[in-house]
This record gives sequence, structure tokens and C-alpha cells, in this order.
Amino acid sequence: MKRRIPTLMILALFGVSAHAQAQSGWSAQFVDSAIEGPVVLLDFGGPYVFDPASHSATLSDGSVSVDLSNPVLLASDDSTGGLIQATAIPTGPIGGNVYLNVELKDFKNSKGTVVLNDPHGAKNFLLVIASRKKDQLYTVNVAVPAKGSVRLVAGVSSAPVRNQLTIQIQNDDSQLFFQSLSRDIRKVLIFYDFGPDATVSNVDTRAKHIDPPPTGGTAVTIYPADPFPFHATPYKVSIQIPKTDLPKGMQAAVVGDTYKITASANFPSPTVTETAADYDFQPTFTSAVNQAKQTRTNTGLFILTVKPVLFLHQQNVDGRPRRYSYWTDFRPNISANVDTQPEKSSSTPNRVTIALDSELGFTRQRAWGRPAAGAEVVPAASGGQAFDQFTWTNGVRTDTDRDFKIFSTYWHTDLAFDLWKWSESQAFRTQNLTPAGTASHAVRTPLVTAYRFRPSFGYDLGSTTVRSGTLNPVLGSSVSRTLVKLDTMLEIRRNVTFSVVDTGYYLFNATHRNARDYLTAQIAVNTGLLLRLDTNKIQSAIAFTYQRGEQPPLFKSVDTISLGLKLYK
Amino acid sequence: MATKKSLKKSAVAETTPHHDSPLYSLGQSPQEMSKGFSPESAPDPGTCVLWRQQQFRPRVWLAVADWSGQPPNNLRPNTQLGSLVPQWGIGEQNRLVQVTNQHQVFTPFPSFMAPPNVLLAPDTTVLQWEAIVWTFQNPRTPCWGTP
Repeated sequence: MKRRIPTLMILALFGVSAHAQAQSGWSAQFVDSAIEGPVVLLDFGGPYVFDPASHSATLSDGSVSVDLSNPVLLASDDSTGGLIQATAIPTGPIGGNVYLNVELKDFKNSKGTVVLNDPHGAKNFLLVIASRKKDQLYTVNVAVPAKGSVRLVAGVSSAPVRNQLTIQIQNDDSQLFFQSLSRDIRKVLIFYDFGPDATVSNVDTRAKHIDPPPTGGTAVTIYPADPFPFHATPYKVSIQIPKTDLPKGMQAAVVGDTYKITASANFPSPTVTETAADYDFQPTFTSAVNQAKQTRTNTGLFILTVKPVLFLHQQNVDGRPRRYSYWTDFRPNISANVDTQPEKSSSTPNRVTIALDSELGFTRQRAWGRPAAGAEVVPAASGGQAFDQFTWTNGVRTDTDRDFKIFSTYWHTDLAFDLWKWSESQAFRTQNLTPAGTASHAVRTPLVTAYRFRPSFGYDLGSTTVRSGTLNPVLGSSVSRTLVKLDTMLEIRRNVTFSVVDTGYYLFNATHRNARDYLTAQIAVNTGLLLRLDTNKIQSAIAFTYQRGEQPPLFKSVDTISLGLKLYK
Repeated sequence: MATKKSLKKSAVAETTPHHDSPLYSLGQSPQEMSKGFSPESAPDPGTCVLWRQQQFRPRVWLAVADWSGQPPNNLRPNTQLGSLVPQWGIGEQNRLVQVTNQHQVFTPFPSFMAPPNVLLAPDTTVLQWEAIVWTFQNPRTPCWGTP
């Protein structure tokens, strides 16, 4: 949002009929440090390209170019004698002439050096920067606290950590503050305020634990009893501290029994995929062929897959040069593929699998080797240094039919390969990154917007029991089979997805036809956000599915065509 | 067994680019980066702000650039990590943490980024990643709590 500032002073001082705008996304922070002294840090909300010849900065999207040769500060009162000029220095380099922020220092007015912060009280300034376009000025507010004043500054952790907030103590003893708070940390009250337009109630909680400042640090860490809730928009966090626990330098100025400090929390939706991995639900209308009876029946078929990632542990990521990294995780999952027909006449897959899997994964970097001393580092190709990923899955699984009459319980193991660039996501293939200072182009749409090629092989060992009915004499009661699986997908122009998953089995205990095969082929037309609701990024597609072959636990012959709606993440 | 100090040195040698490279520029040496910090005196809050904004942040961005094989000036705060690599997953996340630690983003403090041990979503942005790296500093630096 842009706001016009009717500052006659600005117009008069710049001697032009200029428009001044407060620029959203920009921020300026006053910093008084032991090393640099008082400076103002200006952040354009992203990187910018600095031109040393003209001393100008062009924002990363190329939309704005500003002149940094003459930044000006205006005080909200007359205490500093009007116009203050500063020197702007680009800081935070990320290569070439691209920087992340600007440092303003050496503040001067017509009478000489100006001290922005004095002990008498807080001040507000307006930072004015001229655009390289004629008659255009940009303004940013700068709040300057009183020099040497005792302050508490609250901060909130970022996702996935939702149970920590920090309070930094400036110009006082953080250890004393910690000791006074830790005497009864539950007296510190915490409020999550979602604003007047929110449809959910605000949350009142309290602190339950406190960590001391790290060695040499100035901030305590407080753990709220209720973690920060997810909310679509940023919300206010208020921390209410008893007056008696405040640093001595603050207590005199506090009115009432408590002192409140605020911070902003932003947890729009889970940035963690632990509960969002591999969700798939497909209600379909299915036509199935019963090969034994040579009949065709129509029925409803429901396909469901839920496969979260839990208890992930990453290893070999400590920064020491290594070729391999590892991880382990736990992946309980359920997949169901059931219809609405009586079991006897059903000719659809009718399989429910419940699995308690754990994964051991490892990555191996390709092209391992160090450049010779002094040699130029050759930039890696887009997508970074190529590496191979292997995932070894072990777990206990139960296959059953829809009515839970027959159970195959077995140990499952498989090894899956994600080599080099055998798979590429839509986000990667459609990205169109441009150098800072140039306008971003529209997302590119190549013909193939995503693809996957993921082979795996494994082995199942266990036994089959029946709750009612009889065992199939061909298959027997023991499970011993190898399987080879090929999972492939091709997405065209973001809209149409072809996928084929074929699993070949070799049944060691079958009396005849040891080799079995099961094929699922699907064409899905993405219908995007069909429901314009906050569905947490659930996508939808019209799916046309073909399933043929035999699969555990019954290994009944299946030949179906389904048309349905696919909801997935 | 190599000491921690020698390991840090070797990691620096691994990631320090040629000075002419337009792609990878740390900007400052670790010695320059540690200017103003001394083991005897803790940094004041103002120094911490400058360190976080002017040194920590660029190093995180350079690490993302290094990991993704993109020139750093191609990155934006809203660039999604999942758009930078062929297939986002635990393996890629492992590699990003590894590269971030190779870049010694917390220099001059002897801290590293602890692995998040949850799989981040592929639409996690560079700006969010910056905050995640900061949150997962281990051990906590004296600048912990710096806004």
C-alpha cells in the first residue's frame, strides 16, 4: 500500500513538486553499536543491485531505482534542527554488486554532526530517499529509542519451532532479569491476539519454562504453555511481565502492576509436511470385468492413501565435508482401494494395507572431489551438485480385504532409487529465475512440467490367516515373495498427468503361476483449486484410472476402469 | 582425529571461491567477519543486529545459492526452496543443512545449524529458511534473541 505524505517540508527542501510515498516492504532500523556507533539499517525487503558509478540502488524486481547519494532524515520535532543528511553504504553483499541492506551513517545537518539518539527520550524520524525518476520520493519511518534506555525487545521463533519466544534486555543485566523471572515464570502471561476480524477466539496462556541467556548473550528464552497457533495472517503476541520482575531501570516508568511487550507471530500454515505427505483420496465410478464369469459390473470404488513422515532424524549434516548424508524416519501409512459390492461378486482390487514402516535414507554426492588449491570453483548446474538418493524401507504390514476376512501380515523391505535427475518437480521445471534488478518473467511452462521415474525392489516374508472362509490353496498360508516396482509419472503443461505404477511379484510358495503383476495407469486432468476455500493447498483432478492384474492378499484377477475425482496434496 | 578448528578451516577452503567468480562471493573472510567480536567481551545488542543483517544473512543466501547451483542474485526472499532443486525431499533438505553449515553462517561464533528433523514443505521460502537457520543455531550464540 502506498501512502502519500503531505510533507511540505520535504517538497520545499528538495525544491521540486515531488510525490512522497511510504513504501511497503521497506524497513529501517536504528542501531547503536559499540563498533559502528549509531547507524540506520535500511532494508528494501530483498536484495538490490548497487551501481557504484551513480550511487544508486535498483530493487531486485527492477521496479524501483533510488538514488543513495543523498538520503535525508527528517525529525518529527525541531530538536535536531531540520534536515539531516547521511552517508549510505551498501552492506550485506551476496556477490557482484548485489546487497541485502544499506547502512546510513555520518548524520549531519547545517550545523555539523547530529546525534540521533539522546538520553532524553525516544524520537521518530522520516527517512527520505529520492527515486531516480523525477519528482518521486520514498519515505520510511525510523524509530530511535533514547540512548542508554533499558528496553525489552520480544521476538518469536520461526516455524517449525512454535514454542519459543525471546526477550532481549538492552542496557541492563540479562542474568538478573532471568533470575527474577525464573522465580515464578508462570506469572508471565502471554496472549495471542488474532485481531478484530478473526473468526477464531484469542488465546490466553502463560509461560511454563524459561532458559537463561546464552553465554555472553542478552536474551532469555520463554516457552509458552500453549504453542503458537497456526493462523492465516500474522497476529500479535503480548507478553505481560510483573512489574517487580522488570529490570530496575524500567520499574519507575511503569504504570500499574504489569508491563506489556509485543511481538508479531507468523505461522500461516504448516511449513512442515509431516502431516501433509502423500494424501490422496479418490471416489470413483468404476466399471469392472469379472474374468471368471465374463461379466461387467459397475460400482463405486474408493481409493485412499495417507502416508505421513514422523520422527525424522538427519545425520552427517554438521558442515564437515562429506560425501554421504543419512536420515531415518517413521512412516506409518494406510492405503485402501475398496468398492461397494458384495465380496463374492466383487471384481475390483479390494485391498487395505496398514503399514508401520521406517526408512533409512542416504544421499551420495556425484562428482566427488576437491578443486585444486587456488582453482576457480566451477559453478554447479542449476539444481545444485548432482547426487543420488537411496531409501531403504523396512516395516511390518498387514494386507486385508475390504471386509477384513483374510489377513496377510508380513515383514516388508524395499530399496528405492532416486538417482540424479530421474525425477523433477513442477516447481523446479517451471521456475524462471532472473538476475536481481530485472523484472521477473511469468512462470515458464515447458511441455513436460514434471516427471518421475522411481524404480524399487523388495521382499515380503510372513503368513496369511483367515477370519472366515478358507485359504486359497494355490497361495498357501505363508508369504514369501519378491517384488519389483516401477513408479513413473509425466505431467504435461501443468494440467494433464499420466502415471503408471507397475509391480511385479514372484511368489515362492505358490503352487503354480509364481509370477504375478499389477498395473495401475492413470490420466488426471488437474482442476486446480476447484473449491475456492482455504483447503490447505489440497488440489483436485478428474482422474481416469485403469487397474489390471493381481495383488496381495487375495491375488484375485482385477480389470477395472474408473472415472472419479482425485483430491490430493 | 582432526580438531574442530582444523575442520572449520578445511570447510572454509572448500567453499571459498575464486575472487573473480561472479557466482560465489563470501564478500569477507572469516577474519573480517569476526571484526568487533572478541572472546573476552560479549557483543552488545547493536553489534548483534549489524552482524545478523550484514554477515549472517548474506552467508545464508550464499549457502542457498551454493546448494541450488543458482547465482545468488537470482534469489529473492520469496523464492521457494522446492523450485531450486529437481525434487525436494529429505535428501535435499539434508544437503541444504550440510551446505549451510559448510558456509559457517554463524562465524565468528562456533555454532552450527542443528538439523530441523522435520521435513519442511517445498514452498518454504528463502526468507523463511533464513529464519529457520537462525532458530536452529546450536549452541545458541550470544546474539540469540536479536530482532
